[in-house]
Amino acid sequence: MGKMELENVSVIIPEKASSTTGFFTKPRKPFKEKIIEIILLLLTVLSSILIFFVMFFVISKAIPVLKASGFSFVFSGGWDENFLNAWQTSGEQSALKFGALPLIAGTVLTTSGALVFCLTFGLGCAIFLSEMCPAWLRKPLESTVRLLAAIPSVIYGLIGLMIVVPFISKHLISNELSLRMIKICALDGTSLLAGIIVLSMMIGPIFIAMASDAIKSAPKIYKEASLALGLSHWRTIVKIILPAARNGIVAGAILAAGRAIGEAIALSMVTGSVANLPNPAHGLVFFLEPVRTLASTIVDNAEGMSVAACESALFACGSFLLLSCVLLSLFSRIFSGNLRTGGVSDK
Amino acid sequence: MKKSLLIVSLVAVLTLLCVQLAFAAGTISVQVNGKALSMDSKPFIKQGKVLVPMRAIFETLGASVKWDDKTQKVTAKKGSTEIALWIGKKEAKVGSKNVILDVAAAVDKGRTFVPLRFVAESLGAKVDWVSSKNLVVVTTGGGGAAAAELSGSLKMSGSTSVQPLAEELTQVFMKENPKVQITVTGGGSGVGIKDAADGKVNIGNVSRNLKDSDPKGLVATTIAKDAIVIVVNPKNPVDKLTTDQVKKIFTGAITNWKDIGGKNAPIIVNSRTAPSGTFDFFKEKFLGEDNVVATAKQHASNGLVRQAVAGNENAIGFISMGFMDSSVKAPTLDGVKPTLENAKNGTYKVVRPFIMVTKGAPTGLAKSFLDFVLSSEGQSIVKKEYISIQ
Repeated sequence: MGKMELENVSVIIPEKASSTTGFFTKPRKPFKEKIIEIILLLLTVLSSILIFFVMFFVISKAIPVLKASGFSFVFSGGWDENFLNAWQTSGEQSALKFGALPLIAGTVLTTSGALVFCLTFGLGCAIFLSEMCPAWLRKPLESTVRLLAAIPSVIYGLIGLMIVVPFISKHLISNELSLRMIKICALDGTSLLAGIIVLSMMIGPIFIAMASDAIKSAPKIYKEASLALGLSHWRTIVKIILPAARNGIVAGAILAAGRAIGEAIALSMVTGSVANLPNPAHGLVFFLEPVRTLASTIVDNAEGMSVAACESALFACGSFLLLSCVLLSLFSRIFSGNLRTGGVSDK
Repeated sequence: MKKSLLIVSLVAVLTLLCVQLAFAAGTISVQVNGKALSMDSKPFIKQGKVLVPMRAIFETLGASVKWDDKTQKVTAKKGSTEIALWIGKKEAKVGSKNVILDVAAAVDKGRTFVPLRFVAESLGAKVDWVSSKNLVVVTTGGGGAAAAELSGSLKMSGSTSVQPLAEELTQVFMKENPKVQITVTGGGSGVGIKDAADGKVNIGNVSRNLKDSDPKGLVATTIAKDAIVIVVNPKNPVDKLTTDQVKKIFTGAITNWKDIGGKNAPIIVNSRTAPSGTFDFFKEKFLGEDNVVATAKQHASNGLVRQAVAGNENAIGFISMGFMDSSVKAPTLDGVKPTLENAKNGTYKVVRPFIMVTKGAPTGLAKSFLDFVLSSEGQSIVKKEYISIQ
């Protein structure tokens, strides 16, 4: 007991002194606090070094393939054949050439498709939740959305495989269409469309939660002023609240995109597991063609790690994923930074 | 009050103890390698010799038993050692050598009893009698180390084809050796080889033969053989295929079921990713130098192929026979039904080895486990759904 009191005193006194003189600045910290501070500092430094170490590791492993393939890694296809070839020749120099265009296209298409879904339907949900929802319904709805955001992706994959894929193959793909396309790609329901639907279900809740938070934190006085001037509620939402919450909404979309890009298991289950580049010339059939994303390629082909060329190719996919995640997180920093400085303060 | 309670409980404990002791004195127990031998009927002593139920002791010692009703003859075989006994006869045989027993094998209440010491020692075990406990201690194995109870943990990874069998084997092994913990994970043959070579696992499961391109220093133990089955959806009317048709389907030369006697519908080809052992064998057996068609779906496991074929009427794929169930249908191949019997008797020829690889020759617990897998007990588990190597 006595010791505790002593410690308290020793903390308080210098503070008083500093506040009166204003000159003796910092109070001396107790030894224990210093130690803890140093440990925390070390841990912070260590974890940031770890991130750089991961990047260095992934990229260094990817270099053999990236170097041998050059730009054709991004601009040419034939991944599955390349991979089989690399596996069978067990990594001769010729086997280091990979073309990941279908995979990159698959990633971009599924993610952007899901984002379009999110920005339309998700934004509607967010507006409803934060502006129009009756008070008694808001709590349960909000907690449901948050719960949905926390469901592991493999569950969404299963739902996609059991419900979405059979639905597409039954109702959207006719036997004639499938016959006509069989030489180009197998249409069996596992498709770009299934991927987009499953991804939207997955990232939708994240986006809705973030966007409704952003809308709620739009300055109240804007809304009040707008309503006082006689604008309708709808007009206020569209013209005043949404622009004020724009940065937060965009930041939410970017976070959702980050999760979509990295999603592997769920997409590997529903998008068709073949490195196929959908052809826009096929019209709407484009959406029914199978694709495979960078992340699900890593999962599907992980077995090949024992051959150096295959390993390097998978790390090349990984380095692209890493790069896009870094870019996205930079974007989201810019936008969330603007959110804090732009407009007026919350109060 | 307290005192009386103490006395009562003391008396109770003592009585219980006495009962236990009396019970123990009446029965003979047998321990094999430190574990009590479980028997369906009690062993007894006849002319100073302990007789035990035949099945319990032979199976625990890893010997297979045969009973010939006509001659009343019991034959047990373990490795190269074979012993023969006759009910009621004092003559016995160890290999080709004749032995005279003190007590003959006997039948009691429908159970055959054999003299424990003779049987165990003929099969290479050591037998000790602990008279104070009425306990027979049997220890197998040459050295003292092998006699100790097995403990520790093993890790296995690799082929998804081998995985179900490996899991079944490890479960039995762990039941017999409760202090042993074995984990089996999948990943594919490629993963099994890499993990074993890197020392990440003790045993790698592989469903193909080792190749020159695999890491050096791996030792393969063939544990079973497995057939690969071409499967289609149960709703598909096609129920016979030829090797040539399979090749044409998987290389994309035939794309319509109509061409091989089915409906006018596209053929959805399901294949495995390149590093799969099942794919490797399938390609060697059916495709040769040709590659699988580019539109083929690439799955990472047997289960996923089966799921894909079960879920699409027009799909075709290939899986390990161990994965066959009613959700998919196996057409005949060149007129041969792909069944376990046909694979065993050699009429169904699409059969590949299951191997377990270790870094260097297997040692310690890995060796004990592989010995178990190769024993008649282990192979009897193999036989249920796969082809035994015996």
